[in-house]
Amino acid sequence: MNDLIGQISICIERGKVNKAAPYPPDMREQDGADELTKQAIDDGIDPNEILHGCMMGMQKIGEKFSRNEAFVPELLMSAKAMTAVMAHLKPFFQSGNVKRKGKFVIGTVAGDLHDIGKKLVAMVVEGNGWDVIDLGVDVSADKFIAAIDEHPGCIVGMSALLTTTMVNMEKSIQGIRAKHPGTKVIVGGAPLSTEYANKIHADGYAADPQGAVNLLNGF
Amino acid sequence: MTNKNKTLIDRVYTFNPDNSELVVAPEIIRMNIGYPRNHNDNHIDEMIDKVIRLSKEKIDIQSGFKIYDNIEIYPNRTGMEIGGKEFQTQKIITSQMRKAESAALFLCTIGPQMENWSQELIQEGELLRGYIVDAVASESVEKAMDLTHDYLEQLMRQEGLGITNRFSPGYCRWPVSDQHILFSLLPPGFCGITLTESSLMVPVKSVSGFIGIGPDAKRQDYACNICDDTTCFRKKIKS
Repeated sequence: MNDLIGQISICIERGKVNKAAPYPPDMREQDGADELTKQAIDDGIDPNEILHGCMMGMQKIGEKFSRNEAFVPELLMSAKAMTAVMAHLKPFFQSGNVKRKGKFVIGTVAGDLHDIGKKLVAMVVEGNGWDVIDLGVDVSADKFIAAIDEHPGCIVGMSALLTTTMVNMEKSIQGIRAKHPGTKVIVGGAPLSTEYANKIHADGYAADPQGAVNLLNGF
Repeated sequence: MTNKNKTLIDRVYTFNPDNSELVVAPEIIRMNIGYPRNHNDNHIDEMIDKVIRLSKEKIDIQSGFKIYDNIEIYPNRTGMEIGGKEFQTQKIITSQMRKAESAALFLCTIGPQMENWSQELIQEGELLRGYIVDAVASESVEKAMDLTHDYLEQLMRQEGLGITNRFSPGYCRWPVSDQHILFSLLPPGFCGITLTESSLMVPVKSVSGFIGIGPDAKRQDYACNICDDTTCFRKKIKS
C-alpha cells in the first residue's frame, strides 16, 4: 500500500483532521487527513485508493468501538477526519471516477428525536464507501417511503432510542414493504435486539456502527 | 387532600431558578458521551469544562406545575386518570403512584439556545463539540427539573405531604403519545413549550410529566430501581 494512503488511514483512525488540529495530542504539528489527501491527489494517486485508505481507517476505529476500545468522542473525531477526505474526493464522486457501494437512507423513527447514534452510524457507513442520505429525526413512514422513491435500490436504516418509540419501526417497515416489497431495512438503537428485529420483520439488527457496515456489505 | 391544603389544587405554579443554581458535573457528561467511569482525556475534559462554562449564558430555565386532586389508578394498574383524563401509564409507574392522592403535572425547559448552538456546531463539522453541547443541554434540563422537583417537595412538606419520583411520557413504558393529554391539562404555551404532532416538545431540551403527592408518597434516590424495563437505554447506561 502507498505510504500516503497508509498515513491517511492512520489519520482517520486517530481522528487527526489537519495540521492545525490539536487532537490527538501525540500527532500535534503533523499533517492530517486534509493535507495528506490533497498531497495524494496532487501526486496522481487513484482517488479509489484514497477512498480505500479512508475505509480502512474507519473500519479500524469502528472495530475498536465494537470492542469498547474506543468511545463515541473518538469515533466523532474520526468522522471529522473522514469528512476532510471526502471534501477532496467530492469532485471524483460527482464525475463518477469514484464509485460508491450503494445508497443508504437512514433516519430516527417518528416520535423520537435522538440523533447521535443514528449520526454515528451514518458517518461510519459513509466512511466505508456508501452514499448516505440522512433524513434526520422524527421520520415518518411516509418520509422513508418518499426517500426510497427518490433513491431506488437503496437500503434503509432505522434508529430508535426509546422503548416507546421503537414500536414505530414496525409501522414504518409495514408501510415500506407495502410500496417497496424488495427494500432491505436494518434497525438499531439501545433498546433493540436481534429478536425484536426479527419480530418486526427487519432484514437485520446492528448493535453498533460497524455492525451496520457489516450488514450492508453482506447484502 | 385534606381541607387544609385544598388551596393547592388547580393552582398553576411557575418556578424559574437562576442559572447559577444549576450544577452540571463534568464527570456525568463524560459518562453520558460514552466514556467508561474514571476514563480521562485532557483534550475532551477541557472541551467539556468550556462548554459547561459557556452554557450558563445560553440557558434560560422556565418551569412550573399544576396540581390535580383525586387521581384514580385502574385496578389492573395499566393506566390511571388525572384531571378526568386517561393516561396509559403502565404498571411500573402506576405501582409507584398507588400511595399518591394528587399529582403535579410539570413542564421544564432550558430554552432553545443550547440546541441551536449544538446544531450550528454540527453543521460546521464540529461534531464532537456539538455532541458535548447536546449532552450538557440534556443534563442541564434534568438538573433544572431537579430544582423544580425539590421546590415542589419543599412546598408539600410544609403541608405535611410527601412526593414521589417524577415520571415522563416515553419512559417506563408510558407511551410518548400521551404528551398531548398531559399538555391539555396545562395552560396553553405553559413555560413556552409547544408540542409537535408526533408528541415532541419544542424547545427540544424540555421535560414533561407528573409527580405524585400524598401523606405517604415517597421519593426514591435512584429512579431506575423501580423499573423492570431491561431494554431501556437509561437502565443500560446505569448498569
